This record gives sequence, structure tokens and C-alpha cells, in this order.
Amino acid sequence: MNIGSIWDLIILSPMINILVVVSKFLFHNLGLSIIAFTIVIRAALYPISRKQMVSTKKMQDMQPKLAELQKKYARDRQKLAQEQMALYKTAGISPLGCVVPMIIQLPIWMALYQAIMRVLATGPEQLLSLSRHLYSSWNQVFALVPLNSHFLWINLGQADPYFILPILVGATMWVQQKMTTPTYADPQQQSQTQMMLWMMPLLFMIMSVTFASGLALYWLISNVISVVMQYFISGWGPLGTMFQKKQPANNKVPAKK
Amino acid sequence: MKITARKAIIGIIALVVIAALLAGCTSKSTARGWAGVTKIDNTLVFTTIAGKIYSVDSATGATLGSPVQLTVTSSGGFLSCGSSTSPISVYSSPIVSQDLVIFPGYNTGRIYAYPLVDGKLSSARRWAFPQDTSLNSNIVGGLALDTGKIYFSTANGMVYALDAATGAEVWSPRNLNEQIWSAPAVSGNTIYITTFGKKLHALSTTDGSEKWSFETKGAMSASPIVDNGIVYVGDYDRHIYAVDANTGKELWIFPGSNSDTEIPKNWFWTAPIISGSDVFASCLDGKVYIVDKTTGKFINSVDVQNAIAAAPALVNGTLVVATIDLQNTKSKVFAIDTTNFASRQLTSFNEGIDARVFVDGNSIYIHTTSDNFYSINIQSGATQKISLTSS
Repeated sequence: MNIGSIWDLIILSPMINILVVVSKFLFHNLGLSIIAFTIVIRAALYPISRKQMVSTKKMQDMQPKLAELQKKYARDRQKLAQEQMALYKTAGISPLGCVVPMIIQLPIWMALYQAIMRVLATGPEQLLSLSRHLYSSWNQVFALVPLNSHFLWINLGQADPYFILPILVGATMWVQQKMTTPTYADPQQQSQTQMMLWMMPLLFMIMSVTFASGLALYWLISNVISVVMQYFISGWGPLGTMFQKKQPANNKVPAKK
Repeated sequence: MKITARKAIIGIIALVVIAALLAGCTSKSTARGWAGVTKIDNTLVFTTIAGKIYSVDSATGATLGSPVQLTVTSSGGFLSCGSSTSPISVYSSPIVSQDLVIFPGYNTGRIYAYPLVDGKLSSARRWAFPQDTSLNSNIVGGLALDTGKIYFSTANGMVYALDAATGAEVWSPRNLNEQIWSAPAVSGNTIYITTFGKKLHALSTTDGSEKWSFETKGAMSASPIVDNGIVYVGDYDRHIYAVDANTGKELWIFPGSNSDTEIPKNWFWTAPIISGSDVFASCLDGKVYIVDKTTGKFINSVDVQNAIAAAPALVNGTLVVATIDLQNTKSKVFAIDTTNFASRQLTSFNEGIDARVFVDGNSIYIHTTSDNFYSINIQSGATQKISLTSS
């Protein structure tokens, strides 16, 4: 048995079958299934996601102190590293705290993405392939497929012809990014963060224009959940200050020299 | 390196352009197609995945003339790779009407007819339907030919009737409002057609009006077959049905409530085959289920281990079945004696088989997922790759 078969057996096939069965209780609607399934998966991963968000927040809060250290030990890299580690230790966070949870979640995201693509079964080969993932012991899954791919104004197997979903995907991702992006006084750092702030939403928006809408729907719901979670962990963050009157410059993270 | 706001904007634009190109070029799902082999007089017709139709002398195996190119040029929509040419995908075996080879284009939503002159296919198309446009829907199922008329359906649920000689519409298309991926079956003055909407419809060949419809437990993409006034069909919910062809009344269902039966474990992807007093239903679970055609009672099953996605063929009391493995990389061809259900493996390939098996005399013709054609001797299993060349 190769890695692909193991992946299918323990992750992909269970997700596909659950996604199909969930549709039975949601008016045989694949769109509602995708929404419900995304919410359930995100809820199951909540402890990991929360840990990641909290770590990210702490890292952001530490940026002024880190900037000061960089300024102080600009010519002594070894000392800088030591002081940074000491700072992390004092604050009780691990620099890997926001990376490890993300890595743990990646296979789940990948499987969810693949499961949605398989269930959409947009062509004959894809539908034939779907048959191989269905559990013969789950009698109900056979009567349910192929699922109805129409949801609201869209065919989930095709791109949104009106570009509404891609715009929503891009907008929600931007909101989520903005909530966690600090403002730097240094123009160089500010340019870098601005680039990141716009890059990901634009990438996903473009992908949503060309990929099946089912996938865009999943991205949209996932983004909305992230925004809600982020709000309860760190509030609106920099997004909130955008809508307030211009704040004094001392709100900004000091510039690196 | 200092990153200025201007550089950042240029970087964003560059990344967006790259992403747009990548997304636009890779997001299209591949429609490979699985066209089976067809024969007209002494000429075999091979439709390739690569988008060519070859005519081959059935006696010598020599390619006759040049292949007809089946390509479609897409103008390129938003964020696409621009104008591009791709093969026309065909998911059924072409049919033959007089001197015409007729087939549906999956990705073009059109029907095409090319003449065969002295065994050679002419690239001068006789007709296409619609002539200049598209039906704006994929055509997955094949064509049914009956008394000079072609019947077919589009994936969006429309049923059409055309004059085979001219491609002219015989009656206005009928909308069944259900997704259709199967070829119709025609018997007498009735068209039988299965849908994803769990319905078997019976339509009049005269005007397409509905005579009756029969509800099944699962969706269907397998075509029905009609034998002695009974319609047989298999569904995704793993049942075989026998329905009265005149009234649409259920005669039996397999598996029924009897406990002395085997329960199929996957979809019936292809049409059942009738031999003698038995129905042979090939299943994606790797078994051929044999049931009594009058009562629907389970008789036996033949285990061929892998999924049967290719429509089997019956010749002189032998059922030829091709299997395909999970990764589309291996397949086997079996001959099953329909009287004693004994099976023997004829050959195997390191390629998948999902196109209809075609039998001509003692030869079986196979089209693989790697776009190769083979002929197999039904007695010895001797296998020969068919070389398709432009002469």
C-alpha cells in the first residue's frame, strides 16, 4: 500500500463519505453540505487554530520590543539571538507556536479541498473516480450521489459567472489579513506587510474566478470563520483603527535601523 | 535590499499575473473521453483520446487514408491561456448510418457526421448539429440509431431527434429537466432514457412526448436495454430493474427482499446484457451478477476482482468483460461462458480500460486509457497492439 492509498483510506475517503451523508440532512444540497462540513472541521480544529492565533497575536505585541533589540544589537547577531530567545521565554511563547499548528492543520485542509473536488465530480472520469471512495457498508451514500451542484445562483462545479463569490473570497481574506497586520513606521517594513496584505487575497480571488465555485464557497466560509475567531481572540486589530479617526504616530511599531 | 512602495506594487502585480496565468491554465478539468471501436463493412473506426479518427482495414490492420482531426479551438475566456486548440472528447462509440460515421463531441456540445468513402474517412464533414454553434451542454451519453433517425441527450436534460442523413431536427427537443449522461435505447416507437434524477423515461419516437416514467432508487448513467418487451437497467443504488416496456410497471428488482442473494457493493455503471434466460449485470465492485431475466432471482456471480467500467460485449455465448484498477493503470480482459459461468482471463494490460469492448468475429478490440488500441483473439487471448499511422 503506497502513501496515496493510505491517505485515501484514512483521510480522504472518510471525508468524502461524510460530506455525502451530510447532504442528506441538508436538503440534498451540496452547497449547504460544504458550509456545514467546513464549520464542523473548523470547530474540530478550533483548539489548534486558537493556539496559532494567540501565538501570532503575542508575536505581534512583541514587535516593538523586538525592534528595540534589533536596534540595540544591530552589530552583534549572536547577542541579538540570545536576547530574542530570552524575550520569547519571558513572554512564555515559542517562535514555532504559530507555525506548528498551521502545519498540523495543512493535511486536513488538503483533504477537505480534495474531498470537495471529488464530490463535485465535474466530468465522467471524476464521477467514476468518486465511486471508488464510497463505503459499500454505508447504504445511503449510493442513493445520494451524484449530488445536486446548484446552490443559490451558482453551479458549484463551475466558476461563478458573476464574480460575486471571488470578490467575497478576496474581501474576507483581506479583512482577516488586515486584522493581524501591524502598522510599521519603517517604510520598508510597511511595504513588505502591505504586499502580503494584498497578495494573498488577490491570489485567492483569482483562483476563485477560475476554479469550481464549490471550492470558492469553502474558502469564503473558512475566511468568515477565521475572521470571527480572530475577532474574539484579538478584536478588530489594525482593521478597527482604520475606521477610527487618525491615530497619533506612537501607535506604530518603531522603525528598524 | 530596500523595498520601496513602488517595488512592492510591482511585486504584487507580477505575482497576480503569474497566479492568473497559472490558475487560468490549470483549472480546466481534463475530459479524456473513452470512445469504443466501431465497424462499417470491412472498416474498423478508431476514435482516439488525442482527437483523431482512423479507419483501418479489418482484414489487414492497415490504416486507410489519413485520420480526421477532431479538434476544437477555444477563444479563451477571462484569465484563460488565450486561444487554444484541444481534442474533441468522445465518451461513446461512434455509430454508423449508411456511409456516415456519426459521433457526439463531449466538450463541444455538437454531433458530427463524416463520410466513409471506399473505406477511407473523408475530412470533408457531411454535417454537424448544431451547424455553427453549440448545444451549450456536454454530451456524455452516446447516440441511438433507429430507422434513419438519431436520438441523443445532452447533460442538461434535453433529448434530441435528428435525421441521420442530414442532421436536421426531426422534432423539437424535449426537456426532461434532469441531468442525463446515458445513451438512449430505442425499441419499436419508444425511446427509453435514464437520468441522474432517478427516472427511466419512455418517450415517443414520433414527437418526443412522454409515455411513462419509472422511478428508481438511485441515479443512472447506464443505458437501458430492451428485450422482449422488458426494459432492464442498473442504477447507482446498486439495483437492477426489470420494467414493462409498454406500461412502465416494475416487474422485479434485484436484489429483492430474498435473503439468498448477493448484495452488489458499488454502482452499475454499464448497461446489463441479456443472454438466454439470464441478465448479466457488470458492477463497479468487480463482479458480474447473473439473475434470472423473468423473476430477477439471483443465480450466480463471477468475480473479476476489479471494477467494470467498460461496457462488456457478448459474442457466441461468451461475455467479454474488461476491468480497471483503482489507479487506472492496470486492466484485465475476461471471457465468461454464459452457460456455465466459467471465466478465463484472456490478457492483461498495464493501462486502464473504460471504453466499450467491441467484438468482431473472433477478435476483441480494446481502447485503453493510455490511448492505445489492441486486438485480442477470443480463443487464445493472443494480443496485438494496433498501429495507427497516417498513410
